[in-house]
Amino acid sequence: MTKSSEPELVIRAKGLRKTYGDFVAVAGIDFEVKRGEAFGLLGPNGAGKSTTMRMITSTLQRTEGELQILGKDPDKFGPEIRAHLGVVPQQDNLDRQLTVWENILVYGRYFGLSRKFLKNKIEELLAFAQLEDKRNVKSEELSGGMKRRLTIARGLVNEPEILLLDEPTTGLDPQARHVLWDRLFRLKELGVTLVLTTHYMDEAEQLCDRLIVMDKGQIMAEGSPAQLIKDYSSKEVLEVRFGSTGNADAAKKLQKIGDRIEVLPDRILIYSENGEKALEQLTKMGLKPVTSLVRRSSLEDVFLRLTGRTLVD
Amino acid sequence: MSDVFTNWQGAAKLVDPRKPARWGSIYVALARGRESFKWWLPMLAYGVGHPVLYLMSIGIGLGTLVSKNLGLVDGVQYLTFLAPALLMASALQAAVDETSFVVLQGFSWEKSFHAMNQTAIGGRQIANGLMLYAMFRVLVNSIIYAVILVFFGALAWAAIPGVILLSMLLGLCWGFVFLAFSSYINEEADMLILVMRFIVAPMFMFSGTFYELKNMPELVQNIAWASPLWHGTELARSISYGSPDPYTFWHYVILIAYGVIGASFAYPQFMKRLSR
Repeated sequence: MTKSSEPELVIRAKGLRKTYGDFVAVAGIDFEVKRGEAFGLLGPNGAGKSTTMRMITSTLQRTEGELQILGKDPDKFGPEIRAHLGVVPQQDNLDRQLTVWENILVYGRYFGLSRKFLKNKIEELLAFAQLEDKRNVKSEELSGGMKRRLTIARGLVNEPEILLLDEPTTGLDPQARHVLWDRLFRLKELGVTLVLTTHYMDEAEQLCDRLIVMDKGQIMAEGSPAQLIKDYSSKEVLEVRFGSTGNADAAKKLQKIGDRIEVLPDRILIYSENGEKALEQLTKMGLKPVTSLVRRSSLEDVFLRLTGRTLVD
Repeated sequence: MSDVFTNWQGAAKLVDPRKPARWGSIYVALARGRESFKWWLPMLAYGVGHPVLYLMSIGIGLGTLVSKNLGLVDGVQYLTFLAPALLMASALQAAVDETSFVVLQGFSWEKSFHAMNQTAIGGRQIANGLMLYAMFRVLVNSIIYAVILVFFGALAWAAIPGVILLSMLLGLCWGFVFLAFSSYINEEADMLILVMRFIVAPMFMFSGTFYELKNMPELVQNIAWASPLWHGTELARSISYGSPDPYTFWHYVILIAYGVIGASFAYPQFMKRLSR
């Protein structure tokens, strides 16, 4: 912590840019992450989240801009910074020939951790990942979900100050996702800074104190999930379906209902402070949707508003 | 039992970055060894079987025929002529084994180098760790080979330290060349297989392993100067026979030049690949 009451900044990016030839992966973005914060990068595939993540991980050199991780420049102090990071990459990069136990041991040794410390630590991590009974199984023989859990457990072996998770729950079943969210909350309580990318809006809403919405290498919006929803969407959303041929005609008649509407290929979204009331108005107009659903606004709606696209398209 | 959360100290207290900075290459070599030892039995069988089979079939079988018709080769029995060359070829092959597909596996197939690079380990340390383990394999391989050669009466006990050190120099220098070459290959192993078939395998045939190079056309003799195996073989024969080779200095210079060139390409390429 710094001397002031403000939490220490552990990540600071200014004009951060990464290009591959003519292709701009990250187009000069600014953001800061405070110690102990859960910070999310939300966006569709190809938005530049993973590239940004790899630059934070200090394994990818930036093309331009400033970046400081734990007060240091990753281009100059990569190994020292990485000694304090936990990394869970999008693609599992476990050693397939080694057992679950060996994978954590070998990885822990790369941080210079002693065998004596690791012996106990591995037991804790195996329990964390619910892989105690798989300790002697080669990682190539694990299911996708188990591999993911092992990769996450491995990333905690050095008790990182910042845990970077790139699409952490991809491949996990719903129950395992909730277990992981719980564990991440507990890490956050210990003061671990979490940085995660995801294209699951519920995950971002559940886990992140603050997030940036990215698209085409740029930051479209920044704030807490609740604030973003408040700023860019209405309180509720009415989803109605009139069949694949009826949506366009119905949309013309719906312009006066709610704050605004979005016409998607399969449904119409009506943004309103009161979804039930909007549905009532719609029925009074003589429209009969095939299905209707009133739900609260989510980050998906924020993203749709900002980019005109859905998160997974 | 304690859980992950109860004993949490945090990396700031737990990790001393100076340790991986100092010992990182050793950690990589140990990890590679742990992986490699999963096949210790086939490796041992190959290490013992290769010299025994070669010595019996070519050394003794063909050697008897050669001795009957030609007498001495290069001033010694055919088996004595052949032995140092086989040892060098075997050392070179062990170094190639540890610096070829392993590199593709690390960068592309399993991305294990990227996993290492997520920690406090850097590209240079990964390259050094691979070379360290390659040297360990060459050393073990050469010790087994040399002892078997002695039992076949093809090498003197006194020559063992010299030829083993030489085999390690050859493995190190050509290993760096292969490490560099492999690190430029992206995904497909085709190019690697091509080089194995059309450079490494012919090198075994045209480096004076089975016959004196002076029997070959001058062109082949000149090409042999480019072969690290030929330089290694000439030096090993010189140690084995105890007779100095007039080109000793140049053999060492060329071998070391290979190593320096290989390393100067391998290190930057390792770091480049891990940071793009």
